[in-house]
Amino acid sequence: MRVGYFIMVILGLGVVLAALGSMVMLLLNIPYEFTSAWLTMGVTLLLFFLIVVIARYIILLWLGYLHHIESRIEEDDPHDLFEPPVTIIVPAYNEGAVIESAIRSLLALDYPAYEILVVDDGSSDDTYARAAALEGRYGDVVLRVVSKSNNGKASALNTGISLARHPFVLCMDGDSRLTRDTLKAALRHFRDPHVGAVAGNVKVVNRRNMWTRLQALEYIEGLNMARRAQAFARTVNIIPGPIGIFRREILQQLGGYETDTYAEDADLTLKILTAGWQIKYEDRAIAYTEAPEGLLDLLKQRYRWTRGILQALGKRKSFLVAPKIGAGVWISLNTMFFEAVLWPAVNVIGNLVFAIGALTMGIPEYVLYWWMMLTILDVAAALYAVAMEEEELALIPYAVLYRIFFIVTVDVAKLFASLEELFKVRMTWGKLERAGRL
Amino acid sequence: MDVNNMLSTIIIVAFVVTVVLAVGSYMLYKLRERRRPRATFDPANENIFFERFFPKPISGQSKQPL
Repeated sequence: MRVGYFIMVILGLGVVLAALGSMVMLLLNIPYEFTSAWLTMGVTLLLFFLIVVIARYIILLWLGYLHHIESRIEEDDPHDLFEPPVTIIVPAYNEGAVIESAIRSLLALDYPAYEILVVDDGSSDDTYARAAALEGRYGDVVLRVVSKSNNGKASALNTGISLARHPFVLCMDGDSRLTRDTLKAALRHFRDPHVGAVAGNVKVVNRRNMWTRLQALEYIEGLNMARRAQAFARTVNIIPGPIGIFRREILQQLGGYETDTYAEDADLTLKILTAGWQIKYEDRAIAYTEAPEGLLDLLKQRYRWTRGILQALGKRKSFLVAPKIGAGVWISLNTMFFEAVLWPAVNVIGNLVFAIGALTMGIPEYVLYWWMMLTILDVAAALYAVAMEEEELALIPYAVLYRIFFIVTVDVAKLFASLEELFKVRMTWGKLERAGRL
Repeated sequence: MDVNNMLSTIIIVAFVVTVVLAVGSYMLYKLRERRRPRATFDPANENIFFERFFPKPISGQSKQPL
């Protein structure tokens, strides 16, 4: 890591801790007058919110930093070289416009020997014809193309897994792009025979408007920071759809992807975790993906993620209740439930309660201090996470909007999704609209 | 109204408006989904596990990198 970024990581960490300390002081200095049961309940809820915020940040930042150090030590180890042959499975549905460039970028990966397997999922355009024209051998790289009837991404990936010729498979989205050293960075983790899968680092490529820039920041600060912390305990609970690397035999033993949830990637991850395998995260195995560019598509994505995660967890209730195969997996599953359901509720309701409480007690300035500190916390966490990934510094100011608008908007959608899942409201299936920027 | 009170008011209004807009956006999203032609998710009709396919044999000759 470059010195400048390292300083920013430390600075971010320091400001996060200072902001958290200030929030505690602020809350302790509020002149409480417990005149009603509602007020008592509100203050109790707020204290709970504060404790959760503090615990969450400290645990995520600290474990994330430990993982970062561990990862860099492993990286420098000359004995860490492990480059087994791997099959890259590319599910493609109506990707005719981009399939050739996608294949070209995969052929340029820096890895000794691998296979690219394009699975055309019954496209109605010329995806298959364009990909099939490139089929063949390119030095040590083999490109194969198969076509099947349309049945969705999970089915296409299962087809690819059954046809893969190598012991490791990389599953990706048809419209994602991998960086050149992705395979080298990810495959080395499989030297450890306990590791069943590795989650890659997903980055937003179409940083064109406010929504996609906010999502770019969210991927770095929200999703990757959590994944980094989970990786230290080897219990990553979501291997993202755009990039996941697996031992093929595990997928075959467990039955591959299932299509009875809205989040097949989360479902498969939990299946691997609860089978007793370790899952790691590699931040240098990068897949660029397109994020939804409009608000309604973003809400659709988050709605599906939340319901999908709840469905995947629902299939493994017993692992959620008791630590059947170790405390790490149990904590990881409960964290998943917390982040999907409880945290959005606590976030929206907690802030609302604080605002109402401060106003009714005649101390509106406390609202200002509270929000300023939450925002400082977010900006500092953004600084820390962005510096850790040596990402675009221009994303950091978006942390202000992230706090005021983005989190609230997404959390409201998550709340509705949780309620609809609870009441089993009928779901519809559909492909997310992409702008085709890649 | 002093600066602190004014800023507090702005924050509270921004928060409440965001919540209202978020709920409104969610309603809009549901409305849009309802109007779209859709495929109802039915696990019973899905092929869940592996399907067998027979790819074309790979030609042995090496192509030039693209």
